[in-house]
Amino acid sequence: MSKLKDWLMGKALSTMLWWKSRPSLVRRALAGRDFPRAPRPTGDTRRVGVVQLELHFITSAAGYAEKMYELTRQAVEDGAQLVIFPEDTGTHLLGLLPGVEELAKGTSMDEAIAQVAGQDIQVADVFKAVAPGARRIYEATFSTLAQGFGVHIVAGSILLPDKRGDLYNVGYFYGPDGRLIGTQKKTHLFIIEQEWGLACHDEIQVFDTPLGVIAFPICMDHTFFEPIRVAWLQGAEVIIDPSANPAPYDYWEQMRGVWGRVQESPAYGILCCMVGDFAGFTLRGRSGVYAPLEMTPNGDGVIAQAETVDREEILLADLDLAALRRFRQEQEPDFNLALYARYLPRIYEAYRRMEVEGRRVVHTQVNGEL
Amino acid sequence: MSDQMLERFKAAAIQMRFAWASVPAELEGKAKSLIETAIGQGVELVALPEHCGLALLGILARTHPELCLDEVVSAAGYTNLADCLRSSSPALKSAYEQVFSQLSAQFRVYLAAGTVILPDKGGALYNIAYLFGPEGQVIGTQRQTHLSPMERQWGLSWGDRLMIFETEVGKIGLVVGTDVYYPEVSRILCLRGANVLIHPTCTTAYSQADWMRRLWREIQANQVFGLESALVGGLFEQPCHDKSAIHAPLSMTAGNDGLLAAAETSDSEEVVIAELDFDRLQQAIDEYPIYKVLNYRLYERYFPKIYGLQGDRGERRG
Repeated sequence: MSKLKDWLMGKALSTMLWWKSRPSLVRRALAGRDFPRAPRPTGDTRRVGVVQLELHFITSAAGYAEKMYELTRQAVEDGAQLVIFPEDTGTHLLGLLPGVEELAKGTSMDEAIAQVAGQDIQVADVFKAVAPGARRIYEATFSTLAQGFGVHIVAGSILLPDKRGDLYNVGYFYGPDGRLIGTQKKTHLFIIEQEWGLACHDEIQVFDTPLGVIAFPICMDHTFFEPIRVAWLQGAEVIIDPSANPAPYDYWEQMRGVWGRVQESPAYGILCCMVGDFAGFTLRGRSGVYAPLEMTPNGDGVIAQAETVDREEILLADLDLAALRRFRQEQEPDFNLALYARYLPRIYEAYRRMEVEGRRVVHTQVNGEL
Repeated sequence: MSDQMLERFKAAAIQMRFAWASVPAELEGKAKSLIETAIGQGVELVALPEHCGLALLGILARTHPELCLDEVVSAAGYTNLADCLRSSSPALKSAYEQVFSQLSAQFRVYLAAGTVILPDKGGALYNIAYLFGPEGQVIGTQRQTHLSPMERQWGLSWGDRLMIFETEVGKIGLVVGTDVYYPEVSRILCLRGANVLIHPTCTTAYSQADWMRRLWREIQANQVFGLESALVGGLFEQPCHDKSAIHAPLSMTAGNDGLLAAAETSDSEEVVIAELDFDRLQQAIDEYPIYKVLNYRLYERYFPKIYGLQGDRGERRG
């Protein structure tokens, strides 16, 4: 048992975090600032501001609030009614842990933690340790910003333990009165998150708002048609992908995500990327606003996209909800319920039995049982 | 069938121009020259495009090769395609099976012979894909399971089963036409163990983006090989355009674009050939095991009853 682990779990740290995360620090940092109001939703068009955010350590509540304030204000000044942040917006707040800068020098999160803390500390332990403080700052910041600007905010996501201590990647959605509209926990974990010991959730939420019916499954969820289909069948019109992809930018890899999902389940799709070099990770992505091909001017399914793949910027786009509703009426998917009833969900379990020691083997036998 | 699977072999996706065959031998001759090109390069599995069997309706349009499908149907005295297909069906079925059985036997090749529209005993019409074996035998057929608005209008019905055909050249799933837009189909096929998806297709709306939302998307979602064989030219009033291709997971392809090979044009005949290497496929899956991320509890929670919600929303069709 290393000393650092004792310390991470100890009273001294939690007292320090509690002190550093007082909501009054957030309120004080934002007091007296200019809060232009977001335009009220009228007519058919809604403007979204997609914040392509850079990931780095932030060491204080005030620093965090100020950073998110600046970006939100820019988006609102440009008329955004819905401001969207990428996955892992809570991760900046690892900076609350003293000495954590060492992590930034590591070649990978696991290695860096092993170097700083010893082999018996897991990545999940570090996130759990910072969570009580990070959560207070995160919630106070985005709630204050939503209320101050009178804007809807999809506030990216933060790693938080539930009451049982299981760590989830949780997205938050705030309304223009500053109240939490709802949360969405990630349902498909990136392989590295599985290794880190995160838990995955099995519910997909949709939120009926004046900006349309909104869903925001997180990052890897958009590699799978299933969660997006579930959101769509519950009425989702704006499907948001808060993403933090720890890989160099690749056009083809990116197009496997939400762009493809809104071709299958016709809706607006919004990819919001975290960028930067952080704790051994290279995070890249080109944020974009997508729609079914037929609804986009160039027929390519792209309404707007970020100029860079590695820098902070705000992408703006207008979503025409009436046009989407018309399109969905005209191009209604024609589902084959008898087919799905025959195979779903049994086929998944049947597949799992075909795996060889948890591995998908391309030469294994065909599943003849269904 | 429990043939030992080859570890690697060459496959061909044939891009064929539509032309009415006033006698079956005309279709046979046309397909033969294309298949011969593939065989010359050592191919073991050949895919032909959607609706290639409809060329045999040319018997009805003997003197008018420029007519489109609707015109042929009405020139032959039918008020709609469904009636035309039902009354032509005995001859159409036997001519289609004979042509492609002969070709597969002649070249000793596995032949996914595109599709033909045929009725069942009750007269319900299906767009059906056939897979022939190297002895000329019918290994199996797959009815299309989803319909486009046009196919509904034609009066087609849909199947409610998805088959896997276990052969020496892979465990083959047939993704027929419109089925490619419904991710449920490829997912079910691949969960059942398919490692080669064959997609006979026919579209008038080709663009790179349109192409990416079809088989390209499914292959990346499910990490198997994909043969996409497109019909080009004039079956409909609007000419068909597309680029046939052989797909694989991104990491297996030179440009990281998911293409092992692709047609150069979207309107002329081409034979697209690539080697399918199952060891490399296994490696690509091991490096990025997408199916490991499947969330069984979520699917059990929602499927299949969530589909029933579609009718509950006012904006949607009940």
